[in-house]
Amino acid sequence: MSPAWERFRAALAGSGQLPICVAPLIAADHAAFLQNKNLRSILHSADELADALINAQKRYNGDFMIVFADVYVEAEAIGCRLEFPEDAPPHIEKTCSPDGLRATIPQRDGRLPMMLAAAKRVIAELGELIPVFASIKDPFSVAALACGAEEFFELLISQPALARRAIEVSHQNQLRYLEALLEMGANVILGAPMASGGILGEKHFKTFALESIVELLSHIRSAGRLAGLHICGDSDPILATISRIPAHFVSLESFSVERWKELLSDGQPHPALMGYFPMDLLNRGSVEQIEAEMSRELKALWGFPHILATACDVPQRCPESQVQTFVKAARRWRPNG
Amino acid sequence: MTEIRKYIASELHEQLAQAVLDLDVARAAELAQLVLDYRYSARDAILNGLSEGMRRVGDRFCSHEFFVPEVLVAARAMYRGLNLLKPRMLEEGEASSGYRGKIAIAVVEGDLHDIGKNVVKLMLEAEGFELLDLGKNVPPTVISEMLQKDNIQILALSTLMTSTLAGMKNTVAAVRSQHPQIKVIVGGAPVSASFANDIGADGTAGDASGAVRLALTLAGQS
Repeated sequence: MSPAWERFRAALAGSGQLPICVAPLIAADHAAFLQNKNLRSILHSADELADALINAQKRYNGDFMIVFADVYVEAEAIGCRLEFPEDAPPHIEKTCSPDGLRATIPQRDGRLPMMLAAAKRVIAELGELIPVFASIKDPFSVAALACGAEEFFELLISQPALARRAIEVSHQNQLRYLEALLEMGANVILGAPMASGGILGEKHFKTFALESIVELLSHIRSAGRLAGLHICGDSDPILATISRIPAHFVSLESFSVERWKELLSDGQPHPALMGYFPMDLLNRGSVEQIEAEMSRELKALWGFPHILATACDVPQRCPESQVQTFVKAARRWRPNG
Repeated sequence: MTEIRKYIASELHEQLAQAVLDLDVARAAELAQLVLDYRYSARDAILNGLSEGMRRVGDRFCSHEFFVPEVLVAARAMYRGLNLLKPRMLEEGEASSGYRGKIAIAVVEGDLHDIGKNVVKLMLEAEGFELLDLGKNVPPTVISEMLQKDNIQILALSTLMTSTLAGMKNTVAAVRSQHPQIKVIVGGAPVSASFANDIGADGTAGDASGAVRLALTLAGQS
């Protein structure tokens, strides 16, 4: 087993191995920035995307990596139209009607084939050295992004049956996409940018998002792969539910650490925690500030299963030196230091 | 107004607030139409009914009883009523007041919440002010640039989030240095009187009515 794989496994088990397991979450935008390459081009080429992500991995030398282009890959495949600025992440030009979402085939539709090819290359090159996680979205988030988030959130109250039908179409699509990724040997992290506790609250999260997330995570695990879940925003309203989810780890952006530790004290199996280094500090903090925050975070969770990572993906134009500082500080960190 | 009309008006206001809180879009529209049909004050119905409902929604959001879907549907209910009542309210304003001056209004950079800004804008228009709406998530440079174009007397800035209070401070500083003649008022849930004072604003108000009173005072029209 490679050192990175060993650190990752040890962190999942909470064994307190040093140096700790650490990685910045790097998506295509920051990877393109590092190489001074055109983002729009990278977002449309499997080889360019794989090259950019591999280059970022080699520069930062994190203990794991994600294969992530942009948040709209599946929403585009399901039917919404995107605008691709030359050097910024895409945004939605035209949303879909919730009753017009189409069934997708991952080998055929939108940029899904490109993502499969990019994941295959990254896994082939780095998969034995570090855990590589293909990133896909949870079905609720895909439906919400494709239909327009605000309009979709309103449907949860005004036309819940229609919202459910849209989520079901998205769920079946994501199952096929997941299956294709698992066939090529990928570990998978499920990203939930819209199924966030701070947006939905516990009731809507449980009613509209949870079932799909649990089914996809269980599917990943039953294939013998590592399963992660990343939830954006404030997770406190759904923290108890998240603490029991069948993932190997959950990557959270914002939550109460003390409450998380309480939830873990019931003797039941729980996912490891990934995160939650603040993005503002990563982007602009001094070396001393980054070290101090990291130490505070790591000491609070020392002895618990924890993988240190950025709270969300690294901002596009975050200076490389800042990310290097983050990784190096983690490599040096000792509990009594 | 007779006592019975006062009572009915107050009941209508309460029911409008409750319709917003109940996320009942159709009921909000129905009640707004009743206000129009029976010629009650549209301005009072907006302030004491629809806006009060949104204030209660905000309380529930803060206490984690409501989340984004509820707030969006409540806002839809409020706007449905607001759109019905707005023409009448502007007529009422024209009948009771002349031209008061020009105000630019914006939600500061980093914040996309514009419900409060829209209500204050409407109330100021009803009072006879001409409004230049700069929108939401507006950078200080854009605000400063827009202020050069018109004979603006007052700038009204809004934010809902504590995370964008620093942006409000920067905007006030930018406007102060480039347009010292323009009065600046600030508002929104996290804005206190001491914060407004600290950042050099000319004043703040806790609700839309207070914002109108403040604007009238600053425009020398109170």
